[in-house]
Amino acid sequence: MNVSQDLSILHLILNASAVVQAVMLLLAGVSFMSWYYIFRKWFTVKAARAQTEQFERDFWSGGDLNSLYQSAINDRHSTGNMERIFEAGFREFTKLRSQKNLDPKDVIDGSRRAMRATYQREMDSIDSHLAFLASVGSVSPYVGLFGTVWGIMHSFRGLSNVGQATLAAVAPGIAEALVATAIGLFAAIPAVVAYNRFAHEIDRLSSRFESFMEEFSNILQRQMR
Amino acid sequence: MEAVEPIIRPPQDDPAKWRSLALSATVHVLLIGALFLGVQWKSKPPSSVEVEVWRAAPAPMVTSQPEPQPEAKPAPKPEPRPEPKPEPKPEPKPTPKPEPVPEPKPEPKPEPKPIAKALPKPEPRVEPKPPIKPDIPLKEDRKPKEPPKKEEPKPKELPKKEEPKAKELPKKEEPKAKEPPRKEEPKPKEPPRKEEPRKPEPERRPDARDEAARELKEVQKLKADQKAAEDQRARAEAEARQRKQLQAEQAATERARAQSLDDEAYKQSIRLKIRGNVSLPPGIQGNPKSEFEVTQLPTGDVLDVRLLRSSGNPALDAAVERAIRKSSPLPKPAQPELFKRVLRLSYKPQDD
Repeated sequence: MNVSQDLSILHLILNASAVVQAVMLLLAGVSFMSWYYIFRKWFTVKAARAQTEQFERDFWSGGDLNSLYQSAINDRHSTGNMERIFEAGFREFTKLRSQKNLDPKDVIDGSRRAMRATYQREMDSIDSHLAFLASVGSVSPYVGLFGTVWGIMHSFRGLSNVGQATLAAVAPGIAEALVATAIGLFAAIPAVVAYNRFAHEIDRLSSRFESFMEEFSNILQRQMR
Repeated sequence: MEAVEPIIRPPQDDPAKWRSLALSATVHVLLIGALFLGVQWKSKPPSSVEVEVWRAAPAPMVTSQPEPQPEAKPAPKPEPRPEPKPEPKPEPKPTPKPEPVPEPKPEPKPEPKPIAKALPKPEPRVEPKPPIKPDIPLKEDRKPKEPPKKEEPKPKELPKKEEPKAKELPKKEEPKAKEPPRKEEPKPKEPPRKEEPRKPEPERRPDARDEAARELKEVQKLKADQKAAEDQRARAEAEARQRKQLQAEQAATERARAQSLDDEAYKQSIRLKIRGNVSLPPGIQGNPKSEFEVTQLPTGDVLDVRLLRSSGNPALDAAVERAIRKSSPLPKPAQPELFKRVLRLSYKPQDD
């Protein structure tokens, strides 16, 4: 009987019971996905911020609205979110203005509605997968805990076969089981941190979009006169 | 009024996706690496000596140990340390036993012995040299005698075909039969050649040479000789090699055993002392085994006795524990480095 067992990580993982191993596998997959989304969101948010800043600079530098609109249409694939909001609003504005019998208020309202619709779509795409990070952050510790509890139950059951209960008899089982919690925490912590950070960044972006929409409506209103 | 055409979303940028995937993988690889390298939880059991205190245990131990000794005595004693030596030959070891039996009983015997003796140290030197240099002088010598040889082209094939050697053995027996006297020619010549060619060798080629190259050379030379002789020698050498391997392995195990011999003696003394102090309680059923962990001071004084596994009979456990404590101080090992602070003792009232 070899009491002191090999406690290297690999050994612990390989010797765990099937349920614990399944939990570890699940958590590893979740962790991988969450890191994938973390990086992807990171790139997306960074790009959105850079594009927004650039468009705001272009917009407030006093350029012609028409030429801005043209450039937004022409390279659609590299436009930022704010540029697309502007594009939707301006297009609706030009269309409505060409109809003579419309009240200026209606024109502005129509353009705002178009901008809001685009704004919502953009926010949706920026927001996507954030929920995944949130649920990874909140659930995976529990999943890990489940694996641990299961593993400990298992190792205690094994204890019944031993005449004398020694720490050495249960310790390896518990160590095995705790690996599951460790993996769960490893998945959860970055997910929570990333979720909070991205939620904050996206909030800021969205408030920027909203204030831009208001300001742009004012500009359009001035143009109506 | 025209409906507002929805603005086309740009496709999700792929580079970001792949980059994210790669980065995610990197993070995990890093983490796993850190875990494996950084977290070295005790992966070795604390060094402890296991002593089994069984009644008849001493006898089998004594008998089992000496068995290997007679064979191995030459090998382990001269070099207790150089364990690495046997390792350099990492070839997968074929089963050596069947080979010598079938044919070359008379011939191989003289050869392997010298090689076997030389085994521990000079082994790599002695063997490879004859084959390497002799090529040129040999060929020159023999060309006048036997110009028609086709073997010169063959050497090129040989490198690839080390294995066929073995297959060809049966076929080439015939030439051997035809020219029995020549077989003996090459052998006497060999010893002088070995020494002559050595000088040129270091200049030309680096010492380090893998076995394949060596064999190649051998075979070339032998071809230049006669096929029969070559076969003979090749076979003999194969055998010799196998034997060497065998012996090397044996030597390794012997050495390990020799090292453990003292250890064994140490355990034996502990075993005997404890056994003598046990007074068995009455009413033991069967042959229950109990295990203890004993912590001792370097002086042999027993510090602590801990029951690892009960025999199921508390009275017996207590008796054995008393015996262990009574045996304090425990005997000391012959070599101080064999001393282990923690001993694991398992006790059985009777031997199995």
